[in-house]
Amino acid sequence: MSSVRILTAHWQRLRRAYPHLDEAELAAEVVRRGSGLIQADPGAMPGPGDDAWTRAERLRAWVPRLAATAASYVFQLVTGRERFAVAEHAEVRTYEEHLDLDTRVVPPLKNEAKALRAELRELERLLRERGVDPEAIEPRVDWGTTLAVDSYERPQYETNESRRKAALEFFRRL
Amino acid sequence: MLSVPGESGDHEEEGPLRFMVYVGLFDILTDAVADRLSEPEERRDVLERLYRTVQAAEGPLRFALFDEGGRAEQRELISRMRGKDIAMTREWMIPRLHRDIAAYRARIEALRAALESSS
Repeated sequence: MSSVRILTAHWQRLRRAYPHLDEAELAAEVVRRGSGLIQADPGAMPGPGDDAWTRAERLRAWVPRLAATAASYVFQLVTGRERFAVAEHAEVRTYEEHLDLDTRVVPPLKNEAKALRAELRELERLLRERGVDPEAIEPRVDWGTTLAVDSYERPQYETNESRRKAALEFFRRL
Repeated sequence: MLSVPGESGDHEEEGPLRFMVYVGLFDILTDAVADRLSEPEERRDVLERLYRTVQAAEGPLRFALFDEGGRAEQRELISRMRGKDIAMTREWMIPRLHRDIAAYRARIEALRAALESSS
């Protein structure tokens, strides 16, 4: 036996149409009809040239199939809601965390490292001017293992409003 | 949850089975609607209305599903990529910057002391 989930609302609609039928009986009938129809050829879809009888037959054959297609989409939309919400939440959370690192955490550290590297080089230059070999002074820095931040510039973040103002200003100057 | 005869399948196989169940369900519901009407014209009119209704709903529903699903996939991908970037920044870049800064400070202190003693 396999289990298939469908929306409660759809099942209840059927239950309301056949309140006197036992639930298990109704479920068995649903499966019996469904598997029979799925294996059968539904024939052509209703067309503009159909006579009244043919049209009625074709409508009768195609309404359940089209309704089943639409209901399957509804099922996927409803059950996917949680996934959609989780994906949206994760996107917002990682965006905020990334932005926080890029604007508040990393720039001060990189700027500090950049300033210290410049100061260090300036002190080494002054020592050389005085005839002292800075390489003889410990502790030394293994430059190859450090992060090169000498050309680091803090990233500029613009709001939509500031971009709008900049664009207006640009066109005003033309 | 409906039980369907056959071998127990995995989650991916549920789609075709669900469609089959829905076909059966709507076939019985169509009967319920049509059985209430005795005139063939009336039945045809009702079927016509049902047909147009589901036909009109199918396209927008398909689009909404495609749209929502695509957007969720995109968001999941972006979150995964950002997550890797965040982890690299937190686990590798920030500790390395702290280590570099400590090394620069220690060296600057030694260089300043050497400068003072050389003057």
